[in-house]
Amino acid sequence: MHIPDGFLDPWICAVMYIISAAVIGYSARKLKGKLEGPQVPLIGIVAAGIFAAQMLNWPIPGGTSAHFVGGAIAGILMGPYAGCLAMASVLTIQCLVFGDGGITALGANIFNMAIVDVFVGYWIFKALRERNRDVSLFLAGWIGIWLGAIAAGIEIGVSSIFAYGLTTTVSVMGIWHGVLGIVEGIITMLAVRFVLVRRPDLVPVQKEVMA
Amino acid sequence: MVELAGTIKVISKLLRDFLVAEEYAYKEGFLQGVNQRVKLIGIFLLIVLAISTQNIFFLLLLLLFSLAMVLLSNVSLKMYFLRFGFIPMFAFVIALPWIFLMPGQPVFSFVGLNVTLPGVMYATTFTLRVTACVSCISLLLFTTRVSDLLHTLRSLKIPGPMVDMLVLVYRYLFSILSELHRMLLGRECRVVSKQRLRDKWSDGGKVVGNFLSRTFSRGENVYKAMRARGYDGTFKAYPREYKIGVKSIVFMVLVGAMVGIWLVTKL
Repeated sequence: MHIPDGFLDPWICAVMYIISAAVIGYSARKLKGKLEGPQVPLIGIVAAGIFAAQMLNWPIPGGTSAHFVGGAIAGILMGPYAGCLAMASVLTIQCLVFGDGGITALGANIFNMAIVDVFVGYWIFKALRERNRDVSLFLAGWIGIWLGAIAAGIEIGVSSIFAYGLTTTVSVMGIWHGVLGIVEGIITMLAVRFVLVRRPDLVPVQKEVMA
Repeated sequence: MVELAGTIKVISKLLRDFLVAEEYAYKEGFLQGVNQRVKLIGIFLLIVLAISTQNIFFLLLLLLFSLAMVLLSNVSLKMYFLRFGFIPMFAFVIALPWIFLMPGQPVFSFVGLNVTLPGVMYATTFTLRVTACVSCISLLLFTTRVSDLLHTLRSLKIPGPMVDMLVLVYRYLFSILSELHRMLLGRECRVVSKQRLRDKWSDGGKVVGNFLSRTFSRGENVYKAMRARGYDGTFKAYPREYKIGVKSIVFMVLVGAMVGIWLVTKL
């Protein structure tokens, strides 16, 4: 889902950089006070953990395998603001050190995977967790990544340097990641459920319930 | 359980790519001697030029420019293409249908489909653009030490806590990958029965959950260790002097020349 350089128009890159910088700035502001304390080391190290967990190969029927992004997991386990900063750190390191995703498309990639995926995942979990914890976790992972992919489809589709139209790009990204997103949803459900049972004190939403 | 062999392969590739790039970054070469800030801004500018043009001549020139930089910087062309070759291939596959789909003057027919001139031009331009962009960003990755890159971000006034997080991700990524590797191997050794897909996933979920819990604990411990060593919420980085030498000036002139050519193609 990392958009490389050369797929987006310059104006879209600029707009996505501005939006992403604004949301990251807002998130940092919401964490003000905490960013001078334990949050920076915690966010940095959990971000490294999410990066490492993205390397896992999950077997899927047909003999192939899939990876997950982990935006919803970051949002649920750390809260949306810290989760957003953690995912933005992962994507920036992936771009500048490992060459995953373009440098001009970094703003768009952060928007899709560190903002849409994280915030949508968190909000879905928060809204539905009382009704059914497992279903809320699955939907958080699935819909988070699906909407992130649709956002990527829109960014690519409105770019004039990419010849395929908006309908095609949104359909392809939406259908493909709608299916792959099931993997993301199941992993989110299984992993966060484990943490909720063993270390409920780690999860901010759970802390609110426990308080 | 997650697929161990595939996971180790992915982790190994990541580490290999990283180590190869770092090896070249420590070599003597043209771009290695360019001021880090000048290099980062220059390469970003070149990529912006690439995505702002439809001119095949300019894109070819940019590609040749980046290849010349690769050679001058003592980077192996083989490693260079091996690492990033798949992205231009991917771009070519995406653009290929347009040689038939784009309306225009037919050049020749292939199994009953007309290959059009505008289609060929579009597919070539798109693939060249993506290749030129990947080639330019690769210059940065192959010739810059990560510590210098992170320091450059700090000097470009990127907010301190954001750079601190990047430093921590980079600093701990490899030890955390190593821990994940150990966890997977340990788990694999303890599983003796042949697992169904459902069991593999269920086990995998527990592994990831356990791994993330450990990561949180590690984050807390690292914070305590940092506090014990005097961490007060801000990282103190040693000031580094990156002088603008002859190589930096030559690089700036070359990037300036590319901007000039880009402007001429826009007239």
